[in-house]
Amino acid sequence: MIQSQADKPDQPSRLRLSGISKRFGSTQALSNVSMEVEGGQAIAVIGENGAGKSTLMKVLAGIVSPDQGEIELDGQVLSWSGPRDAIDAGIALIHQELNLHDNLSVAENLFLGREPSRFGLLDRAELRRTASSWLDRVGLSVSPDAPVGPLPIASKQLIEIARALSTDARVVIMDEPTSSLSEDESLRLFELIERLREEGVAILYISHRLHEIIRLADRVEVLRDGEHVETLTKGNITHDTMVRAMVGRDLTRRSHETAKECLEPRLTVSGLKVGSRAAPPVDLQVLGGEVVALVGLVGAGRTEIVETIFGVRERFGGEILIDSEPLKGGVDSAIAAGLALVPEDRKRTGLLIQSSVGDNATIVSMTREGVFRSRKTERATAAELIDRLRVKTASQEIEIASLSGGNQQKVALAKWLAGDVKVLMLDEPTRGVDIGAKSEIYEVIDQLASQGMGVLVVSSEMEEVFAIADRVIVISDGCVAGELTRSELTEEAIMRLAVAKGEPAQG
Amino acid sequence: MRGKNFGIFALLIAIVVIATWLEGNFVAAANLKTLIRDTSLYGLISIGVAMVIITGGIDLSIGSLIALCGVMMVQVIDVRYERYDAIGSIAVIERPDEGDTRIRIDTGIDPVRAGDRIVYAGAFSESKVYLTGQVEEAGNVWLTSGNPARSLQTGTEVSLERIRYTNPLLACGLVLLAGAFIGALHGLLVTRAHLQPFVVTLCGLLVYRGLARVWTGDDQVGLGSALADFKATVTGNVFEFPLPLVAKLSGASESWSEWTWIAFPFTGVLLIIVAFAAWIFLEHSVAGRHLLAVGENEEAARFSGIRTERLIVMAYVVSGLLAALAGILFLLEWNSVQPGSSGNFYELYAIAAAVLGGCSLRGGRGAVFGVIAGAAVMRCLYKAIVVLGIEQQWEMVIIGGALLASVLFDEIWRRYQLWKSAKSVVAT
Repeated sequence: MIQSQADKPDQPSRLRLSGISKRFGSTQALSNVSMEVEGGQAIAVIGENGAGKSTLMKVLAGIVSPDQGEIELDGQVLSWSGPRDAIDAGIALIHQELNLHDNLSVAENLFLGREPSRFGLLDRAELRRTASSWLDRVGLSVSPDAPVGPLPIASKQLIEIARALSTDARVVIMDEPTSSLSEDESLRLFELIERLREEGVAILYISHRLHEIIRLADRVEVLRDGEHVETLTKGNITHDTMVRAMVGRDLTRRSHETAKECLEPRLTVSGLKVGSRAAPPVDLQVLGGEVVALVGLVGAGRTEIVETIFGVRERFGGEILIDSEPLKGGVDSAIAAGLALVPEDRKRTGLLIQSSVGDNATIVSMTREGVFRSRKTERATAAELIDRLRVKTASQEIEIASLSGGNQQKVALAKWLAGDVKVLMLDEPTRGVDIGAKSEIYEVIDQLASQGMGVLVVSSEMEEVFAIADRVIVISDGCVAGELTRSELTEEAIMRLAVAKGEPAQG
Repeated sequence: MRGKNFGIFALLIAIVVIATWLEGNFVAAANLKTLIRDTSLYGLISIGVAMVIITGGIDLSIGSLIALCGVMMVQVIDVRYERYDAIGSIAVIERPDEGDTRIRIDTGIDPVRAGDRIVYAGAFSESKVYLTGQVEEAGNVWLTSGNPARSLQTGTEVSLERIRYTNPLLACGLVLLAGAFIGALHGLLVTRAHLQPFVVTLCGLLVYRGLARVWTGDDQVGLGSALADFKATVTGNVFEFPLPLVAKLSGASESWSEWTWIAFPFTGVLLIIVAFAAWIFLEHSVAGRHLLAVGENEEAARFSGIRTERLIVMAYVVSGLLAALAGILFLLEWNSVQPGSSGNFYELYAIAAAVLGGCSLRGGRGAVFGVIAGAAVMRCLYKAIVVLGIEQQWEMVIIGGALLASVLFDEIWRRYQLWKSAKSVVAT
């Protein structure tokens, strides 16, 4: 199939990207990315979290418009103003997040916005007929009339795929299509991809599951920090070459105090079930004075683990010990036992964004005051915390929304520090935070650990992990894939553990 | 929020000034007393609804709950008569020109109280004379009655019917408990069953109104002459306070220097107690700050270790409790309940008062005194309509228009502030 294209060298490529650049605020998401895809080829696009894969796919699908660069489809330069144009041109994106309407039926979802009609009326018979033929193609045996809502996620994923295919796409982009599929379903998807290739459809495939890429891809394009850095061709696509290409650089560690003397365990988690009773058990331990980083690919389940430990998500089994005292469920008892969590999303869960800086700083500690508030104590506590974390704010009375991201994050951290925290958990503590505030936050983390606190940091930023972690626990598909001490810590080692676990036995 | 509260007080003063300017009678002592009483009754339910609105919820069931609790109060009080046949005959009957009729019976009986009645054979059927109580004079016991009872003659043989009813404080306790229970039910349906507050309390609005009608067979029920003392206390006045100027303004006096004494009703005292407790709760208690946090962002509150569900249930309990209290007070005020119409639309008056007073329906914002001012604004508008002789049909149009104008003004003010602060940022 690939040859059939190569036989006609004058034929333009199915899809050609040249010099695509995109900037979001201060982040260069893509810079000067070029690549070509022939009809019938399957190209894998890989890279670390934040390397620019998703942005690139969104550019192709017309969701994001590039600042610079050109897209050619079968030799024609495309310019589109929205996803609709991309679909009409024959480019279909299968989203990582499901975009289905739960209250509509399977068939209605498949043809939403392009329903077959007769005399302006919905032609249900035709709708049902075409829908079931597409469902057959993706190997999903559900009635076209069934509502989508109660279907399992895997079925929804297949419906997404069927919807993309039913647009008669010439280019199909798949963003982590197997993330919620079982092995059987994945195999069926691979067969489907083979069939599409035979039909001359170009496939762009994004996945962290390297074994799938080894199996599927004719070529691998590697992105790093928004740049296209390497192309691996068939025969050269192995687990190791891909990991090395993704990591690329050598991260230098920030000067860090020599390994601290490890005290007793402050947090011990054993057999923790996250999300359901059937989930794989999670075991981990954080010692006093230690900063442990919880790393893994986006979606590996790190946030879910810390939120379950903290008690905002239901614990389906397992034991949590704080200083060898077992922890009951519920956030309030977790806080009483000395746990603290600075959550990932400041605006949604970390702060009361319309309240004042002072109110936010004292919302946790005021609970200890008893029945009545003492504004005097609150003001003093807030002033001390603002001072201690060097929060830049005109006063503690102003709305926290008017502060910069870094200062907001400092307050989200500060609110825990008035009490006796034994284990501090931080989820992506420096997301959306400027460099200056970042290093100040790292300093605070170091300082808290040296006072004997156990610190557990969820981080997707390698620089951050190298800067603060004494030990790294790698999470993959919801379980602990491995642990790395500071001396074993390399980015390659992390990546190896982060991607390895998804590999099924028959690989 | 401070600006918003200031606005509602300014509006209240403006309404009072304009209404007085147009018709001085607006500030007559009797009108002021009714204004205080009505503001208190509506203020109580508005505070309850405000608590729920602060959590980001809504309580539409208030009006129906008032009717149901009124009916329940009547049923729990359960006025009935116990008959004692042929207890004796009339020894003396006196009908002074002024004051109660005095009756003496030839045998000694246990003391009677207001609501008891004596029964005798009238010309065509049995006649009843309601007694107001008894007095002792020179060793003689006189039964008193407001009724001259002309057909009652000396020597007539009489029976006695003694009024029996549940202790009113006990009955109040039971009704308040029921209101709290219904509130808790709403709260649990919202927090545990994850139903929308609008839907839960809308069902409440229908169900409680329906239950009140079923329970009474859709008939008006009342207390009759029972509970006279209790009623007199609750609907009566506690103290009087002096006001300057209003005597001249209302035309009651020629002199600007004369002071008018205004009666302050018992319901007003209740409002002060409840408002003070609510103010302490919202402004000075940890749980109150938590409630505001829950209303602003329930998730963030949960992540801060606040027991959000408990607080939300509590808000609905307070709302149900205050609606039950209002149900009792309205019953005592009206002396009867019409299960099909009593309390209609009161939930909307309460919500309007809360919104006027600075509560955001998105939750997280609210202040007690603003809410009371909101209730006062609506009662003043109503009173002004009456005093100025505007047709009653205009009441809802005017109140609705005032509410709309008020929220519109708030929005414009908010945008103006934003625009001003944006401009100052650009300037610096």
